[in-house]
Amino acid sequence: MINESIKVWAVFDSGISPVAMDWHNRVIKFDKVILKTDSKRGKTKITNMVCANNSVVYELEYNHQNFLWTLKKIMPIV
Amino acid sequence: MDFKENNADCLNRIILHVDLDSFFATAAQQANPGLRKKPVGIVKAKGRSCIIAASKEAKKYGVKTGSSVFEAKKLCPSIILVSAEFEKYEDITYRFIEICQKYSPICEVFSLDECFIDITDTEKLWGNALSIALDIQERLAGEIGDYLTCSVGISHNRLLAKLASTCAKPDGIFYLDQKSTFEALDKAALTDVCGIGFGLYRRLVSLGIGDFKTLRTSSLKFLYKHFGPFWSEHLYNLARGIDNSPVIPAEDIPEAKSVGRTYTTHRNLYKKEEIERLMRNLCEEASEKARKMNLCGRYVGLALRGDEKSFYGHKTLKTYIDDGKMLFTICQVIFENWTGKYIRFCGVTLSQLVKNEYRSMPLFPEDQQRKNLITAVDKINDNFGTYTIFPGQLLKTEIIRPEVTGYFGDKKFRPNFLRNS
Repeated sequence: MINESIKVWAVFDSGISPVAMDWHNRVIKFDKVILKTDSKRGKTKITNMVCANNSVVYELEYNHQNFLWTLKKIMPIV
Repeated sequence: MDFKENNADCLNRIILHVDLDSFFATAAQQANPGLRKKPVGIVKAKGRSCIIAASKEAKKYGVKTGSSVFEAKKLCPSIILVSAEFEKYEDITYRFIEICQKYSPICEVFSLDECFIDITDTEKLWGNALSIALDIQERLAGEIGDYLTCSVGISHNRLLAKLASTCAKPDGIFYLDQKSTFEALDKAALTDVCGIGFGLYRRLVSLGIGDFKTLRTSSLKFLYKHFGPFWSEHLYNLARGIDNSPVIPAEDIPEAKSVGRTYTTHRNLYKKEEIERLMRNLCEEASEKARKMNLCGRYVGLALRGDEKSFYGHKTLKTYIDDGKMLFTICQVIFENWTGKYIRFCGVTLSQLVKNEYRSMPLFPEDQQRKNLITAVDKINDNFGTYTIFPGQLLKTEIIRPEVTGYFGDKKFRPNFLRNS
C-alpha cells in the first residue's frame, strides 16, 4: 500500500480515463485501464481505477468531492 | 396430487441462470494481472484462516470455498492468499446486474455473483436465448473486465437453469431441455441443487437415498412420512426437475422478516468485556440496518458459539426498538445465560419487525432526546461514512464494519443496493 497524493492527467468524457501520472517528478504513462469500480465513503463518490502499462499495474483512487487523486498500490506484472 | 398439470405452463418458460466464475478470485485476478493463471485463494482479511473463494487454478488442486488456509496450503503449496476487497466486488456485481437487467425486467439477483433472468417474453427482442447468453458473456468481458467470465445455464425453470450453468462451468453456455432433465439430474449430486443443504442431505442418506435416481423411486407417501408436507413435495418435485417458482425481480422482494449481523472472530474471546464489545458492535450494525429499512422489532435473538458449545437465547419485548444501545442491553441480559469459556462466533438478530410509522411516539422527554440523538448520529454517519460517530464502548477496538455477503445480507438491502449504487 502506498497511499500517496499524486497528479494525474485524465480525460473526463463519458467516464474518467487516466492517461498518465506524475509520481516523484516522473511521468508514468498508462496503456489501459483494466478495472474501474465505484464506491461511496459516506456521501462521497470514490472511483478506483487499476491502470497498466507494459510491466506495472497502478491502482489509483479519485475522490469526486475534492477532485484529488491517490496512488494506492503498485503491482508488478510478473 | 397432479404435478404434471401444475408444471405444464412452466415448461413454456425460458430462464437463464448467469453465474460469474470463481467470482472473488477472478475479480482479484482482473485487478492484478500478476495473479492471473496462478492459484489464488481469497481470505476475508490478512491472518484469517478460511478461504472464501478459490481461483479456477486453485480449484484444480482441490481447494474449495470454505477450505481452511492450512488445508489449502497442503493441497496447493504455491497458493497465493489475497485479502478480499468487498467494495470492488460490490461494484462489479452492480455492473453485472445492470447488464443482465437489460434483457428482461424479470431479473432476480440471487446472490453477489449470480442471477436468474426470465426471458420468456423478451427473448425474441434479442434473437434467442443463446444470443442473449453470448451477448452477456461478451459484454461482461468488454464492459467490466476481460478476465471475468460467466457461465450461463438455459432451461425452462430455475432449478434446471442453475443445474445447467453448473454443467457449463467455466465460461460456457449449457441448454438443458426437458428430455435431458433426468440425465442431468442423475449426473448431479443431491447437494448440487438449490434446496438440499447438508442437514437434509444427511437425512436422505440415512434413509438410503444418495442420488436423484433413488430419490425418484421414493413415493410421495414415503417422503411425507419422513419429511412432512412441505419437504416431501419439494423433494418429489426436485427429483423430477419440477420447479414452478417464479423469478422475483428486486422490486418484488417481500419485506424483511428480520435483520441481524453475525461475526466469526479469528481468535477465541475469553473476556466478558471483549465479548460485550463485539456484541455492541453487532447490535449497532443490526439496529442501523433496521433504521435504514425504516423498521423496528421486538424479538431479540443472540447466538453464540465457542468451546464446542452452541447457544441461542432470545427475548420478546413489549415495545418495538431500533436503538443499538437498547438492543445491546437486552443481549447482555440474554448473555447471562451463556456458560461457555470462550466464544468464536456471535450473531445478533432483531425480528418481529414492523414499519417505524406504526410505533407509538416517545412519551417522555428523555426518549425523545434519545431519538433525536440517534437521528443526528445516523445523519452524520450517512454523510461521512459508517462509524464516523460510534459508541464509546468501541473505543480502542477494531470496529467491525458492514460488508456485503454472498446473499447481500438482509433481502431488503438488495433493492437498496441496486438503487443507491
